[in-house]
Amino acid sequence: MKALLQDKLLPTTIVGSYPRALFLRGKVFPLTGPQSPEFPSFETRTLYRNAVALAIKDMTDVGLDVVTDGCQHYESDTDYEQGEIFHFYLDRLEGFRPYGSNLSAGHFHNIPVYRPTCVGPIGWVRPIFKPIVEAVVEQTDKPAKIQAAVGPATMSALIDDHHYGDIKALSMDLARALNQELKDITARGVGIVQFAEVLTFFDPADWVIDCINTAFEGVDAYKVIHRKASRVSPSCGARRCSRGCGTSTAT
Amino acid sequence: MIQYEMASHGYDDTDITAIKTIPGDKAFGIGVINGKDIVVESPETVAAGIRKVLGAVNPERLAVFTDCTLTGIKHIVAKRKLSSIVEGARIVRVELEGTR
Repeated sequence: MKALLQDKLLPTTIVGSYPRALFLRGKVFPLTGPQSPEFPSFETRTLYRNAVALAIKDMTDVGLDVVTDGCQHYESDTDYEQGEIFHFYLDRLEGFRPYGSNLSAGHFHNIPVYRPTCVGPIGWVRPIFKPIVEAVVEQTDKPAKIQAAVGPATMSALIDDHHYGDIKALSMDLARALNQELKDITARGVGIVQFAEVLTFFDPADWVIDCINTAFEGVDAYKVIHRKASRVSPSCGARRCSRGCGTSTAT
Repeated sequence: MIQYEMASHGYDDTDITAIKTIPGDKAFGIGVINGKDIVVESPETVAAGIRKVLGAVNPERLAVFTDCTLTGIKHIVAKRKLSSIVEGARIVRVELEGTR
């Protein structure tokens, strides 16, 4: 993206997700903890990779400068596709269990998606987005961007914490885990990484900024923070958030 | 880079004011496509949104995005929205390059 900005005015891309191919149904990645197999079957693996290929084809057809995986692992054939955003990444870290109370977030109340439930120290123990990255780099020579999860500060507000008792400690361990995952994604050939910090749950504070910087520290890729869902204001919005990115190595 | 949805907020002046405070060494990603709207934004609408943000961020720091997810709309609509991103950016790019 940095090179693109230097070489071309107004480079184009999408945040990440794109409608799912109709032949791909249900969950792609098993949610059975850090020991989950990458795919439940070779059939699912093939269907998933075909779906990613079609999403990239559409992006390439229209001439986007940067393509994504289209987040084809989201269950967008069902009413609750956003569950993948909250579960896929966390389920493959240490410290979580795959059930809990219903989630409420923003204007979504009591939806039948369980709150990620932290029951022990959070740790990165395996590559998580690896099958997603592999599906993308196999399909395109164009610059690719991976939207890697909800950020640690936002996620910490949604987690049911039975271990830390301190949202800052919880979010910082999440940030360290995300940092290892972002480095793994980058090592597999993706040059642009992104995560979402909605930040509607907090006044952006120094600990939130520390989380963002920790997640990005030492990651050799172009770094993007995706914000959404709330109108920013001069007093509590982009100014503070941008300071967070400004103090990191983000460019 | 900080990326932020703008189309679904109508390129609100409050947002434009906030964007002006982003440090000059950071790029900005403008969201020009509302994934919650089944009506496809025209390239001219996208171009108008980009022009408005160019009052706050110089073009060398600006990339063009969707607002957020596109999973809630039909495939045929989504692909046309992607096309509007590319065409809307192209309209403004030609204008900018014509002034140099």
